[in-house]
Amino acid sequence: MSTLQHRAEMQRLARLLGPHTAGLTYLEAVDLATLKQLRERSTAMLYDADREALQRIANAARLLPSAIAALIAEKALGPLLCARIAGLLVVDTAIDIAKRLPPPFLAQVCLELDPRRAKAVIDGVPLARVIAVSLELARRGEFITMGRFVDILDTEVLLAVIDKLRDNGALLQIAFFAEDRVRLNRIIERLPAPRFGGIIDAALENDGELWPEALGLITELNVRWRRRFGEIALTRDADSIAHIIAISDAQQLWPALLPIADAVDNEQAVHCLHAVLRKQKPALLKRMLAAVDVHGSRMLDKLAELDWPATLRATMAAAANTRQASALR
Amino acid sequence: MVTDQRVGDVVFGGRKAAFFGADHDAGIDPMKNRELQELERVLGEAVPAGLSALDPASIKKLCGALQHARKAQRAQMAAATESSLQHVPFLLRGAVKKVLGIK
Repeated sequence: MSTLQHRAEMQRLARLLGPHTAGLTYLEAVDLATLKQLRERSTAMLYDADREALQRIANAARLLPSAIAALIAEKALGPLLCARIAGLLVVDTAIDIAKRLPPPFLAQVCLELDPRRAKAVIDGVPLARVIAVSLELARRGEFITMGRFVDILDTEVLLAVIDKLRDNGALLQIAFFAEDRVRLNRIIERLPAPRFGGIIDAALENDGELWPEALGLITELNVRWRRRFGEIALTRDADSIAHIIAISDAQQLWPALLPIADAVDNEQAVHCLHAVLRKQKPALLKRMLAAVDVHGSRMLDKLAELDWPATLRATMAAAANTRQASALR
Repeated sequence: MVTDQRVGDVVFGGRKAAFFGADHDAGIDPMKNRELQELERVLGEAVPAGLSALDPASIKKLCGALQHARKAQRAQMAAATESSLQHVPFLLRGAVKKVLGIK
């Protein structure tokens, strides 16, 4: 999960520094927190370095009718400079100009923009325009950028965008790249029920291509949402649960999956999982059990109480004894 | 201008380094020290501590990337300012040029 976040941070930095950087491979060993600090300080440097000149451009825009300012923005300034001056314009002027710019151009501006520096402008853009730009960004696969806007857009606006964005895979990736997890919990609270199952379906498509993102995201949510996602996943048909088990095992995601299973409080879910695990090979069960840390696992404790075939009984019993011994130390 | 020190910032010689004439930290290789000082100058604030693990060549590359981004932004501004005027109605050009600081 942190590898994906690291890759996202590298991409944000590469975009900020421009296409001439030819990759920032020399930064690949730098930890995530440092990369983020570097990006924030680099952003501040670029925004502040030419602030006087950028402010003059913003001031000049006030002298012009909005239609001409919008024409200049699109034909002469380009997305990068528009992003730099967005937060320097008088808010009403900026909003008026933004209303006149086509969604594909605004999407390009979003790629260059630090949204925190233009929140007042973004808040004033009409909903229809926000939706159009969001769908354009989603069409381009720009989920890292969209994640940044999740952190500052009004909740009602976000929900309206989510309503139009039917691609659950896109929704999952955008949520993964949103940095404000507290905010994300509040938005998920308003998500229509069918979208939860849709997100799990999308994560499992193409051999679980997005399963690591899904687990990484769910693990960081409140226990209430971990429980909800866990119960939806584990009360599906046996083939679906077997698919989840197989993908999680193949991608070595037990350390991420088990804490989600531990949040599940539904006896049916426990029995559904048990029914599928009973049919697995001992080697898979051993890998699953090895992923449990010293704090143990509520789910595995419940599973250990159930009946297991002879081939797996010893494995489950040994693991239960080890957990009990660790708990007593 | 030296900003307030933050947790994890690279500190030269036990205190925040100024842009010029910073004390040499005996624990850091002199070449790396120079590159970190230059990076601090380009960034305009303290270098994140985690970057001190980079080798001097990588720090120099990073510095170069930041300087290049800044130059590219300046060049884009200069070009955009000139071409913008072509779209400005003639009667407003004088006022706009004045605000932009162009003669």
